[in-house]
Amino acid sequence: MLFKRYVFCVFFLLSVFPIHASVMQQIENPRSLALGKSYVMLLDNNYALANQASASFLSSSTLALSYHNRFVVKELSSISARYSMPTPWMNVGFLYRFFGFSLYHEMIAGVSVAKALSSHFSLGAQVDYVSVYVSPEEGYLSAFVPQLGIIIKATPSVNLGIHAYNFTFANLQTSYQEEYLQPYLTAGLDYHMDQKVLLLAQIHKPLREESTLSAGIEYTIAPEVIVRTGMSLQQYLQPSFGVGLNIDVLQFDVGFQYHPVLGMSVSSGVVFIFGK
Amino acid sequence: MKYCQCLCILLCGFGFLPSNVSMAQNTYLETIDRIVENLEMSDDEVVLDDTYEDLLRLAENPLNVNTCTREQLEQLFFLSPYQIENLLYYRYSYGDLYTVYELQLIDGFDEETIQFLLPFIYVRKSELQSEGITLQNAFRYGKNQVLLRTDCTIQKKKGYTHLATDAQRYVGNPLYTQFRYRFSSQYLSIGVSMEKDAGEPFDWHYNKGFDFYAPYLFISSLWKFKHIALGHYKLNFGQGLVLQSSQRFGKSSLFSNTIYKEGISKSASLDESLYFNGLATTIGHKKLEITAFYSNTPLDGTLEYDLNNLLGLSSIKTDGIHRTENDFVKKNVARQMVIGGNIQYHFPFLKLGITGFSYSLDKPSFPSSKPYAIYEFAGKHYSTASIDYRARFHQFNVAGEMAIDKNGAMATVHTLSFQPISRFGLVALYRYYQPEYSSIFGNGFSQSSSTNNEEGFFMGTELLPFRKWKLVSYLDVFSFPWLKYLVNTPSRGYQGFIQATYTPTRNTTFFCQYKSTSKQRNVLLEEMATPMVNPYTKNEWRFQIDTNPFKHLHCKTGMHSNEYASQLNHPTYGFLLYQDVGYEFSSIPLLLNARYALFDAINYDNRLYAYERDVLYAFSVPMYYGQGMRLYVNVVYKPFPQLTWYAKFAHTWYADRNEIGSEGETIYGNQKTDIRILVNWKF
Repeated sequence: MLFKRYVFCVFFLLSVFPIHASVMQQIENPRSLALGKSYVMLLDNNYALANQASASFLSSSTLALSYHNRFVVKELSSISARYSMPTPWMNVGFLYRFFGFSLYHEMIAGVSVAKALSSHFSLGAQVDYVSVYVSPEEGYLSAFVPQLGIIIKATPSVNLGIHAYNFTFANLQTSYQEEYLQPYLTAGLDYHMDQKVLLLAQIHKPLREESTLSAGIEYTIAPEVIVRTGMSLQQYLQPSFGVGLNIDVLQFDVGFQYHPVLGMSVSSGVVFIFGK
Repeated sequence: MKYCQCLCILLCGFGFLPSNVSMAQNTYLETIDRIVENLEMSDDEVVLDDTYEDLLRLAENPLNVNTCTREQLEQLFFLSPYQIENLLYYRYSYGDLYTVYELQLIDGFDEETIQFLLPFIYVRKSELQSEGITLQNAFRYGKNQVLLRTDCTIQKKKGYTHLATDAQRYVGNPLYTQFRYRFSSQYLSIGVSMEKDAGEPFDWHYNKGFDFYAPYLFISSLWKFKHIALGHYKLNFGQGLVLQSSQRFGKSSLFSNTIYKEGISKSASLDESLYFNGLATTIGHKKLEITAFYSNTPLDGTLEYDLNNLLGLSSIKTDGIHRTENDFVKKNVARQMVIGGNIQYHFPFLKLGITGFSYSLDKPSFPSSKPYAIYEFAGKHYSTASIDYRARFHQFNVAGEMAIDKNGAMATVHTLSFQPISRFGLVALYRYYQPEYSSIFGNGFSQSSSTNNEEGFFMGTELLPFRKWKLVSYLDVFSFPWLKYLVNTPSRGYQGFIQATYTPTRNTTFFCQYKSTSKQRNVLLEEMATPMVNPYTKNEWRFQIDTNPFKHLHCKTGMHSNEYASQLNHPTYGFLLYQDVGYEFSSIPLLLNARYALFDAINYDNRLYAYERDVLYAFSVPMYYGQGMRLYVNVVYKPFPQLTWYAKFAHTWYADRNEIGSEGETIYGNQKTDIRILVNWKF
């Protein structure tokens, strides 16, 4: 009983509307979490939830699997997978994500395409099929949601990323109200101080929530070992950190973020690089 | 020596300047957009449609950099006096420029200035310049231009439906229509502009076809006549305390506040209140210039009667919109006549001027009885006069004007600008406008929209601290000795501003800005019978990245945010994030521009503005108020060299309301879609 109350409280704090609890909070891959949720400008982000344009820089097929848990509550966990495949015309990706538990869950299946239009500009697009199980009475609600991402190499050491989610204002229609899947727009920059140090800054603006400012540093200790730290600021300042290991065709990442009220979130993932 | 320098520049300068110097129209539109946007970014509520139109006309009739005068260069307000002086000195020292690439050799001409300047100039040897006007060369090399534009909103507004009350019901159809014809050559411009706003009738009952006509004839350099204007024209003299029809730039254009184009200029503008109509001429003899003008224009307003006796005009309507029966009752109810002149004498480093005019209304005007309005113009006659000066002494420029009106009320403004080196400039300005001073056609430097009831001191600096960096900052401290609209006591405030621009490569610019404004205004609390005057502060931040990832693609990412804080309420915030993409096709003559913007400004005090690309001669700075998104796509298609099509589709979607607008403009729904089409034919 106490546990259920805790889960309810966490849901309530996450959002006023229960169905916003996860669909709205999509950027949860281990690398980004460690960087204070900065994701929009990363070039080699293979995980499911990222700026689609980043896939245009892949030269090999990749399969990325990740697990994300919020505040050490089992019910607030998600798993995701993404397979990205370069073709002669563009890079194509397929992704799947599941969040929730028996009484409430969400499923996303998506297909994405990405193409580098020049060495300085790449464009990505994605369409998700979002299906949300709300209650036994309402059953499943579903919608198609588009996304668009851009990455620009503004200077040799600065990349700019932009990501728009649900710009068509797709919504989930319940019997008692219409719930918008929160549209958002994210923009950010990274700055390669040298080959080992990467600085990132990002602003993420969901339409009906306060904007979140994120910043992070990624330091490559050795080609195999990367350490990351960052923070995000919305209502609370949330510090984060993480580690990445590159071992031949495998890449392991783990990231943690601490919320001063709700506690720790953790995300871990592995990427297989085919034909490396 | 000069040839060596030129050769070096020609060999290495091609990487610095755009590869195609004879810029295509699309390119100069992009440059003008950047110039205007720079102004708008600094002063978001400044109205610049006139400036935008002036820049377009200047780009269509560029100046020969080897023959243009100081006065002509001063029309390019982004040039500082120091840069103008250096350009003229360079020409004097080394003779004609051979190429625009030579501009890089002139001290003070940074990369941004040259990029801005390119659409407005060309280089031709000075002896090839033709002389004086004759009937033959007045029409030679002239261009005709016909322009037709129409706009509409897809959603039906209340004013067109049966839900509208009689006072709200629009007489006309929802199409906005504009037609312009213009013939222009070097010495002669003839044209007419006409328009019908959405909701205004196009008929012979209420109007004579269109609702507004702006015909003009403008001749330059005819014998001793420097300019002759017939029909609609504009007047700008001195520092704008007495006569200034053109809009003033924002405070961040530091040097444009000390120099401004003076004299008569043609008005093809469709602004229905800011124009003169009649005859104006300037005669020049050696260093003396005399301008005389006469103007007679109709006025819209509300007539007040006492039983059957006409009392006069209780208010003047300046929006130029005549959509309802009530608007037509107020249309052209009075006439204003203005007669006046200006005398200028140019010494080598000093210019002195005297300006004056007499103003008559055919019906008396009486202002509102509200305390803040007691000093507004009342009666039928009014006159004012001023003395202005402008002088250069080494790196110092001073300018000023002192004006006095018929009732003895005074206004004065004095400016000092100092640019000891090309990388540093400073401007200081003091103004004092008495509350009693009436300024019907004035538009002096001020914090508020009128040139009276204000005292203030402004200081601004422009600094190029390192290569590729530019910093502009200013502080303006002001007070209002008398009451103002929604401020029931004398009040004071300040505005501070700082802006940094970083251009790491010629294709990328980073821009960030902070502005803080503190003022006072009325607040009505529940337990109080009368409002109390409460201070408030508005802080604004802007950040923008402008980049060209490859030749035909232009991207811009922008973020605007603000905070509105007063002592009585919690701070409220506004936020706008947008992404622009522009693409010019290489295989077909097509240019596309699009923006996706997300905004969150629930309180009106947090409303935001952002300049956006529009069709030719349309200047658009939409207000972002509420929560939602805006998407627009702008298309330019040029099937033939003489013909260009422009189209704009703009859609705004609100998440926080089910009704947009008020009164007859109300749209029942949360979406608004506007379509605009323009055809421009030159022959």
